[in-house]
Amino acid sequence: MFDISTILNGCELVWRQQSVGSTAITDMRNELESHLIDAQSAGKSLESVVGSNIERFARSWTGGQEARIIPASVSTVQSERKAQADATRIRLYIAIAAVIGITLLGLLLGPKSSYSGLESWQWVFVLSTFTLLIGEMLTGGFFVLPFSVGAASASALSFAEVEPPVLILVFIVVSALSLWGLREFASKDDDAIVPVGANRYVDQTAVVTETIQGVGTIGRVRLGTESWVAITDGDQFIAEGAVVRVSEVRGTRMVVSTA
Amino acid sequence: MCLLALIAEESSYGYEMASKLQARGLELVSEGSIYPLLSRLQKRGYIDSYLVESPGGPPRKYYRIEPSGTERLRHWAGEWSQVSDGVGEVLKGGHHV
Repeated sequence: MFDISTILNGCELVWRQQSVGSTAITDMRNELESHLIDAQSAGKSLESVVGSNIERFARSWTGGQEARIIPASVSTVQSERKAQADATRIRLYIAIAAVIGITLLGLLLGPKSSYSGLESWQWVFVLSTFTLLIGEMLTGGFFVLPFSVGAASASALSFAEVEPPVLILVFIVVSALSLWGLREFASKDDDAIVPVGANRYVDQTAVVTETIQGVGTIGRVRLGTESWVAITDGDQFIAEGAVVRVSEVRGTRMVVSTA
Repeated sequence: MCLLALIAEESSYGYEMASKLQARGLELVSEGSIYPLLSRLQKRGYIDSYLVESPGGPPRKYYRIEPSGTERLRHWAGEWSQVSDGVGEVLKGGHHV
């Protein structure tokens, strides 16, 4: 009923439709061909090898290796990270603007005010402390809080009748110190943001969840909570459960090698 | 399991395996049905394959057993003998009644 090339071409067509890799297709095609040749020379019918339905036969062979779906939108993750990075930058601008604003406010109000110079500085720093506190609550991320701490220190000193230039200095120094002190909290936020893109996975270790059979074949690895399609450059067979190191992210696939 | 046992015996290729199975009295629906099984066994890392030149046609893909395959085979064989012993006992009991 069938001849060898009809069977081979039919199978190949089905495998291509299933997006099986070309190396794997050649491999399976050759394997099937040699079987068919052997069967034929032993006087068996080709149907005894593949059955009566070529398509069903081809599908059953690849049962476990249908087309891979690209992992949950990588671009969405990237744009989220970019948005986070933007938010951090905006916070920094707000903080810097606040410092400049407070200093200018103090300089403007100081000499011209009908109050004594010192009293107006008291007002400036007390108001700044609360304004910045509210600002921190609105923005979060510990970028504004240090300046609020600085302003609080300066306002405390202003009631102790410390000279305005010293107050400004204290404000700046204390703000800088607490910014440095709170850096740990702020930078935790940063760490999640800075390694943008898939290359953040490089050099991390992953666990193979679907065996990778060498060059040109596809398996899967689990990295943290994420499951990635994985390939390897070395001609190694990496069995399920093996711990591997990510050497590169190529498109939507991780290139891994045994750790 | 039978395929794994055959491969454990000696490295082999698809056609040879199908013939051996038939020679030992296991009739396959179609000879080709061993390939999905082989592909699954290989995917799980129980067997590995290599190519050997063949005189008339493309190179033959031979399969050989991996250490994890040997282990799996022992496990399956153990399970199987349990089941077959159990079934045997049940059938024997049935004859006595």
